[in-house]
Amino acid sequence: MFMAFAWNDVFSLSILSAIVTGITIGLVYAAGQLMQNPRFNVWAKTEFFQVIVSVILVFLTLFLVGLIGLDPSADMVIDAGWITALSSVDVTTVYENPQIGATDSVFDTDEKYLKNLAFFAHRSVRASRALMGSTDEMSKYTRTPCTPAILLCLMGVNGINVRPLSGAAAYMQTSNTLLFTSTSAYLTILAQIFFLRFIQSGLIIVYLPLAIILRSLPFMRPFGGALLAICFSLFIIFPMLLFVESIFWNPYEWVGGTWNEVDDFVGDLEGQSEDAAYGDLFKSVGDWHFSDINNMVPGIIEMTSSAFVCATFLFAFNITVVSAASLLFARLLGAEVDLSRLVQIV
Amino acid sequence: MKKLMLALAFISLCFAGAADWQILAFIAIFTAFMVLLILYILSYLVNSPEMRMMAKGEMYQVFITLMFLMVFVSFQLYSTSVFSSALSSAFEETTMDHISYAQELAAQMATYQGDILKRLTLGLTLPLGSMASASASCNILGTSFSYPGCIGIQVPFSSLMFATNIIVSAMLANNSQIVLLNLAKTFFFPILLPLGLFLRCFQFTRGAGGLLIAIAFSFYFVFPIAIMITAGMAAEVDFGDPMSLIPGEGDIEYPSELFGEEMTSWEINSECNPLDMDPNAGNKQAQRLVGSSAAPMIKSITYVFFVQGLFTTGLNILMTLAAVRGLSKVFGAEVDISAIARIS
Repeated sequence: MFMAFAWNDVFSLSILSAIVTGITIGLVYAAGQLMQNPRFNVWAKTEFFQVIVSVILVFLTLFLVGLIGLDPSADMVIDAGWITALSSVDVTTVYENPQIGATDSVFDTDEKYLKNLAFFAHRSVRASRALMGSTDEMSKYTRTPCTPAILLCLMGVNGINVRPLSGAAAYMQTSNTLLFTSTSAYLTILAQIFFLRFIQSGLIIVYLPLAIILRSLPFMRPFGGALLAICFSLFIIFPMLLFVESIFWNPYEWVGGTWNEVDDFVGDLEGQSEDAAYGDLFKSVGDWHFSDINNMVPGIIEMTSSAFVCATFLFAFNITVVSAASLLFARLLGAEVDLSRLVQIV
Repeated sequence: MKKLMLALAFISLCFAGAADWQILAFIAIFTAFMVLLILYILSYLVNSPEMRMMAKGEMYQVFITLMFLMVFVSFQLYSTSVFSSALSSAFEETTMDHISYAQELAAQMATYQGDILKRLTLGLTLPLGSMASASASCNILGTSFSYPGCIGIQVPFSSLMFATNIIVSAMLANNSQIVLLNLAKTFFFPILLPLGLFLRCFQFTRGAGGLLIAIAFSFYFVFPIAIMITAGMAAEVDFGDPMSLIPGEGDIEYPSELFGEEMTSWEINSECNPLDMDPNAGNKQAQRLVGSSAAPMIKSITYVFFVQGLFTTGLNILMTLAAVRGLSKVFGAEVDISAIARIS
């Protein structure tokens, strides 16, 4: 691990920061009394109040962070069972890839949920690729019956060449759009998983003790406030949003039976050896005739749309809410924070 | 006038029967009220006039939030009671609110678009592609001669490939609308709205609360109504039904997968003969195949997918996001929603 830290260290460091800042403020107050400088005294009084506010906010944030499962020593942790209790839907039975456990913490639930979304988006990618591959194969094959047969064919092939399923190239071309869309969705979900892991690593939390000191230094209060606001919104709001959304943003439920149809299509094409899959290309790709694939296309489009909305809209929505929360929270602490740029990952 | 409008909006509350989200929203506001009440009592305990003033100020916000809730309940009631019969008659249902109506419209459009795509592919794209690929070849003692007599059909076939691309894009957009409507019904309104109402009652979470309320309201009310309006506007213009103008499967005779199995001479069972040596043969064949019905078919397909499919979807999303932007200011947030707009 690049940088390891113990949660108790953050608590200790926060207390130490508060004490050091308090002593500094005390020294300034003493200097103010000594020099009969009322400006020093006013500053010291104001800052002492701010240190108390900072300490309360930092410990509140640490408590909430523990509540959502980031602090291994936390006594009380919110788990996936809460979703079941609040929504009356058993969250452990909703997803399979992987299954969410009733005792999973907020972060674990979030990651498993995102993995389920990634599985869905990946299946859309594979479906688009399967559509591209099958229609490409179908459109390429040429049939040239030799005319007149037998004798003259010994001297060379004469006749009319036709690619009977050449029109399948239209689907082959348009599957580029589907492949691009579903791949974007898949990568966006992966980016969210990595983003969540980055937050889960907890390294930002080491800034919290720093925030106590910074908020009391002249001209540094906005920066200290910004650190607190960012920590609060990234650690608390973002994971909690995903936690709540996990039960409602369920693309498997939206597409219904289409999932199984597309799943069969992808499984059949990928599961067969090349000979079996592309045995009689004039009629079919494996067991799949062109008319079957034609009927499959609306389902693949539906899956791609669901994957795209789940991936990009979900992320943009979450980051927008996080940026709104951090903006207002930072303003309360006397800072300006704009996290909306984060959404450019999408 | 404004008071009259407000009073008119609230009339429907007389007939209110509480739904799940309404109870949740009321509990959220009541909880915020209780929190502020405790803060107000505490202000006396610690003798802090600032805290008392803040609690008082926030109480007004709780009252305003309650008014918002009443407006939302009233809108919902108008949708489920006053307009329900008019909406449900269109789909022969007993009851239907605005969002179910919009969902039906979008689902119907998705099925219709899917049917057109399938018909176009089997009836036109596949035959034209097959014929465009046809060529005659003669090979004698190593000397070969090849003549792609139907190559002219490549031109309409290329257009069909482009059309397929547009159709798929329009279907992607329309299906996204269905997903967003599902979200509005199951998540934005019943979950986000109560959460937003609760957060709006406190100063430092007012921004996030206002944004959530604006998103919930816009996607639950503005988005489906925008779909209904644009669908109604689009239906006013009649460019014909593509389903009746696109040739059906088998209407155009072409070398299909079975080509060659029954072939005994140089003649093929196809609308296009690759041995036709006329320099304009391809053009004439293309004209013959799609010439007579091409113009109305192209017009209707273009209208259904460009206007009804892509343009109206874009318009619906734009209207919704404009509402989110405007309403979030009304509800207490000034948030940059360009990220969501960029996705749309």
